[in-house]
Amino acid sequence: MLDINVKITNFKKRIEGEINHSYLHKYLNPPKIDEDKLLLLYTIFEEIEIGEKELEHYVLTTMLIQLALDTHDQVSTSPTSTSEDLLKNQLTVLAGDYFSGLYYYFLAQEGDIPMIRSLAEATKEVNEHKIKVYQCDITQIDTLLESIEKIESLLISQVTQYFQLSKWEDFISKFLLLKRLLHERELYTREGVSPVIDAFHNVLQSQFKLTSESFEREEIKNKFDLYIYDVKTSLLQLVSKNFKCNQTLEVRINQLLNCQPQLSMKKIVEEGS
Amino acid sequence: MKLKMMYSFLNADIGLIEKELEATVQAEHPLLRQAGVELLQAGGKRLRPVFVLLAGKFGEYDINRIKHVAVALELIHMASLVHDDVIDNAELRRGRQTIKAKYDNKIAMYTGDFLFARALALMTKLENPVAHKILSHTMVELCIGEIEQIKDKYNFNQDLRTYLRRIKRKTALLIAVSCQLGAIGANASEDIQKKLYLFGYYVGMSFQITDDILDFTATEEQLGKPAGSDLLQGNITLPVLLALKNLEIRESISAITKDSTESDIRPIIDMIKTSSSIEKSFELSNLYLNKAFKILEELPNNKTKTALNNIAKFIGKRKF
Repeated sequence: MLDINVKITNFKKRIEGEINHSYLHKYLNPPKIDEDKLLLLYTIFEEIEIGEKELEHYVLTTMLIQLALDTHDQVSTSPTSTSEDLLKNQLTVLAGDYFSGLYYYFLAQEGDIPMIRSLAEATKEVNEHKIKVYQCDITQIDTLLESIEKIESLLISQVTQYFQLSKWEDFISKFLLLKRLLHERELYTREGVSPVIDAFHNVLQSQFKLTSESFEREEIKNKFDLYIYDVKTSLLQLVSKNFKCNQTLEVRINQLLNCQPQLSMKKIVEEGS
Repeated sequence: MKLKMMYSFLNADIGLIEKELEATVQAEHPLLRQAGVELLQAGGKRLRPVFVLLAGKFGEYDINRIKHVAVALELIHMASLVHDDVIDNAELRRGRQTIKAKYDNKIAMYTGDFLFARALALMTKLENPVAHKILSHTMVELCIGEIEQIKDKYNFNQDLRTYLRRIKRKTALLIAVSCQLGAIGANASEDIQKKLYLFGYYVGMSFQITDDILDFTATEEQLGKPAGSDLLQGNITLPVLLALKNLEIRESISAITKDSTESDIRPIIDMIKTSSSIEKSFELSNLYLNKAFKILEELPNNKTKTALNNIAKFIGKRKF
């Protein structure tokens, strides 16, 4: 039996092959396939008896719709300055539509109507949450985190529900939420902008009724870190209780848990006061 | 005769479809809900649902079953228009601000994805694997058609076959499939399904050619967007392709680049309008229409057939 890492590498190649379109390939960077999501899907399928072909069918179609939605997140809102930028933006719209069409196509070829329905329902909800976060009209941090969690995990959650593997749901949600928050933190540190931290800042402002200049960047980051710490704690609690998974996922969980920010208890007490 | 009058016997069912559309675009988020409602209020011919219902009349017509297909196809069409406006950077559609102009590109992307997901969820109420195979194949082809359109921009050496294949993917297939799925949804015979598919395909080809002609001949008021937009964006449509055969016009057209402005294009539009290419484009449009009429002859005689016949005539003669 192939090692899970080899399976994931092979499967990434398969997805890249399925979505390959020469003209899109010429102008766009290859879409980033989320290896963690692949790992999660492979891991949950270890629990049930499912043929290799069937397994690949579900992993492929879930990843295709995920790629479609992720690709549309890359569509720029800024005025395009060069014709090359304009072309890239146009093709990004179409690449997302194309991947979305392919997800439907592969499921339809297998006559898998229930899964078409499940993933379509999840996609609908994901877009509701994306608009909430993008519009920055959330007034509670918990609601914001819930939206991020749903954006990241709803598609895979649908698969777990479909196969009655609901015990994985909380873990998957927290794992993917943590990953996203860490990514946004890194983005904010590196580039100074993060859509999620912007929405987070907005909630803080509305809660404290302050003006836009009220929080220093470091202050926002420190507050954001507290929530990351909370999610890490929740994830840690989930994996401490009779949790079994393959070694690859175990390593990945530890990597996420050990990522910056590593908050000291003293700082948490101070920040929380 | 007005388009709606041609299928007035379907008024109650069209009304139901409109209500279903309204209910389907209801989202939890107010902005998403608003965007959906505005798209519906902008109107449109609702050609795809009409074709679904009319095609369904050739089988065991059950509005409660077929309505899901009709609504899903209109939603798919709407979703593709919302994304098209991002691609074309369009400010206006049907005389109204586009979603991307009123909000921004991101909202347009999320709205389109939301509508597409709603459409698929609704479509699954038709538990017929063949219907899904057909529609999903069409969705992929539609995207490929759009990609090809961008690839072929400013390519003045493309041939007629390239243009026809592109408009087939871009427009005709979804109309053809509306007819076919209507027939499938009503359990019509395979022969009827095939004939209705062909009817829709021919009408769809004619429809798109007429659209491409109108982009030159109609006014901004009629189009709800600036006239000549296609050429300004580098899209080589049938009137342009045919005008390219005239060496004098060819020289002017070939000079068009991404940097050309509306005032650069204006005289070229006038040259195309007054050339024989418009008339020849109409001829090709009519050729497709005649094929559509011919296919109709093979269908049973009833008022639905008359309606399809009239709609096809309307499409050939429409002014906007």
